Amino acid sequence: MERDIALNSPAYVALRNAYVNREHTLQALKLKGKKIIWVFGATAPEEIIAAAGMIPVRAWGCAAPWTQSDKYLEASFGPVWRALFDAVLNGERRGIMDGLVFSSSAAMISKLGLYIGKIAGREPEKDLPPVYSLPYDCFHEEEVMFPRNCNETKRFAKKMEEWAGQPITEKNLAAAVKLYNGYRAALREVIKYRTAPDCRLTGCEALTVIGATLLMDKEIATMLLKDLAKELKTWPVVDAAPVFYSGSQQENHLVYGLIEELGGNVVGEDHDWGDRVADLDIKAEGDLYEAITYRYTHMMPNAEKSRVDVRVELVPRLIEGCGAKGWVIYMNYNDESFIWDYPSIKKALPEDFPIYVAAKQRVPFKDEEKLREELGSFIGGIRR
Amino acid sequence: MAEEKKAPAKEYDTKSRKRLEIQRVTSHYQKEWFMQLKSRVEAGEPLAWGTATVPEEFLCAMDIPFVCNQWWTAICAAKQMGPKFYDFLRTNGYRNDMCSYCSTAYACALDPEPENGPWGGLPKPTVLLSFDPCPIAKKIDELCAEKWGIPMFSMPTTPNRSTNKKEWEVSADKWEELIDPEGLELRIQDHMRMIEFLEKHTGKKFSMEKLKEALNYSNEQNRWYGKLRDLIASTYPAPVTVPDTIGAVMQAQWHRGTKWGAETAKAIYDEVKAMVDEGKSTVPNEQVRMMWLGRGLWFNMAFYQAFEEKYGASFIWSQYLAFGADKYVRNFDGGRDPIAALSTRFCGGGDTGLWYLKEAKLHGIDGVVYLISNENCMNNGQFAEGIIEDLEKAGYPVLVLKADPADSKKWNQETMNAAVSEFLETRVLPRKGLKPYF
Repeated sequence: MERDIALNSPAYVALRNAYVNREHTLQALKLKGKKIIWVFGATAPEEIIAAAGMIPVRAWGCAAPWTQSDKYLEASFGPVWRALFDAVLNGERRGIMDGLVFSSSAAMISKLGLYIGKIAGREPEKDLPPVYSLPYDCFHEEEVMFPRNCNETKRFAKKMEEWAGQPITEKNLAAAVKLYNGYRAALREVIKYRTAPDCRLTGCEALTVIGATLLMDKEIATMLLKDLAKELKTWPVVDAAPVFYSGSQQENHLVYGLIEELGGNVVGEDHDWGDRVADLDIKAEGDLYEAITYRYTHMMPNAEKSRVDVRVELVPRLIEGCGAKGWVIYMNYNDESFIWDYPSIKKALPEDFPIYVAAKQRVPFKDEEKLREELGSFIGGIRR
Repeated sequence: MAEEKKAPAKEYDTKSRKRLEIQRVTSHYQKEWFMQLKSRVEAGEPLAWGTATVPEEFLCAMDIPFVCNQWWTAICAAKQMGPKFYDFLRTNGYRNDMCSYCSTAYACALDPEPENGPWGGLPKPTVLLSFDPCPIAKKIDELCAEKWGIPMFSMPTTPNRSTNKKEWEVSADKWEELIDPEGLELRIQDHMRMIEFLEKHTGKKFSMEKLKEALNYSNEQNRWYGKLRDLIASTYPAPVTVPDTIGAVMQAQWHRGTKWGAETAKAIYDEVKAMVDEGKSTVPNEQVRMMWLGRGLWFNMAFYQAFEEKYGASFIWSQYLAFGADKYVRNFDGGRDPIAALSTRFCGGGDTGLWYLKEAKLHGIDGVVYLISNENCMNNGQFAEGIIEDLEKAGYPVLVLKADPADSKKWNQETMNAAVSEFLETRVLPRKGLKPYF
């Protein structure tokens, strides 16, 4: 839910315009004459793409029907992944899509990269953009994996140089790191106002702000974030039950909007379109490739690509940190890595901590009435 | 395409008819081996647990018995215990309808009365070797290790930058071509770390000589599988079908690296060869030769035989024998390093679709049934649609069955029977101008 105070803020409105009119935002970027590189998931270093003189943007899905997914993907690919797959293959965004980078922040993202790469080879008439998959490993011992992940970063940089047709200079890389660190700092300044009890930004508003910046020129995004941060302290406190969200990534307001409509508010989350974006800066000293690798392999661990014990340590800390009084786990069908963490995390929370689990969800909602009833009752319980 | 709906109460035979002597021999051995294993573990011997892609030869070289997750899942499924175990997941706060193929062991570990499992239950392992690249499988392995209170070795997934598409052409003798040099070096390092881990946590010592011996046995075993595969492929009617050999083949495969594994593979071949020499076939009325893609239907091996009498449809190909035939042998003559050789197995790369096509042609296949799970990740990542398209283009009609190979609760025999029957009647038999026998 976006409040009038937000819709009257020039900074928020500028961000909102980018979020709502995503294709238009990218078309405007394209007019700058730079290549636009779509990044799938959160763990590919955008700094390197930017240092190569291209513009990284976060890939988002298109609305159903997903005809290409129906043709090529097995049923076990959930709606988020189907929407992303069709966004590439339906060709509608081809003019603002010069390259596709698949990060390893979810197994399904890696598989999408594999499938799209295969289709590009089999059906050249589709004229798909070039594909690159970046396989960071965050599961294994640091001393074993860090050097390997650093090599992956360097390999990725070489490919981006190839795509851009220009080298990545140290100067450009340092500038990109500085720009992104500044952007993340500005984003943290904004999202600190979403935490309870002194919460001044709703979950939907936070999604809008974070999501918008994933699609924008980072200099402009940083400027708008700084302007917004100055205003936020004067925005009224959100009167709603604060909840923490885990689960399928939310690229739009569908789920958060429902939570707000029912009297709740998402004050923190751990998915790729939320607080995770602002986590962890890059040390702007020493070997930058190592520093970049460190950031992208140590940022807030998501459910899909981290060990259970890591999540058991992390999630209760995040819940406490954002002042949530309940935990909503919302999973689309076959997007349910969370279920293997959840019982262990639950044990690490106070015994009576309210938790709501919605599994096997669809887009649009499979059984909205039931979901409303259950979620409403859960939020009502927290409010009481 | 046929899809699972809510299954009715089971009123059909799930066990295939045993038609080969070797089936009885390996079944008996399997149970005996397991009972001995329990005794050994109870007496303090170590036990390793892991996935199908664990290079068992290393464990043979260290005299560490190994139980494979997929084998145990198949045993639980065959004993119709899947539903019972998956309920333990539910009562412990997990979903009981996800990742069935990978979660059976964890479900067993949650059983408050583990002795009620197959053959008195799984003995508690000493170490867990996590080789599955799937992040969810890694989580399940982690939960298993935690529940059992044992250390886990997790194998990293090394990207394979080799452009080789026909891995079966080079895997035995030119295995260096299966993966790029950097990737191979990393996988060797990982296997060395695994050896260190095993030495530390089991007290057993690695021996290069024993590894060579184990790899020699393993190569011998899988060469027999190659000969068996070729014999089946070139004989009309095929001497045996998938359910005739799959159990024996896999029971020996889970013991690869041992003398028993090699001898059993030869015994399977010998029995089938004798049948060929005598002109015998388990489906003498064979009209069409069928290929089964995807996991085995472990809880219902009788399904493969259900179309023999009426249609003369003989399921003669599944991946299990063919994997051994084409993908496991690693010759290390000329002083080549057996650790490097084993490091190229399961290293990704190759084109599965091309391999299926090659095998379909070799076996004179008339139709393909492709098992794809609705709710599990099995087969996704294979680009099944591309495989189906290529098979169809090459003249092999394909039927997709959307079903779970491990959880019998979801199987609907009537729907699946009808789907395969219709497929045979409308797409497979007419192509050869044939009709059902009745």
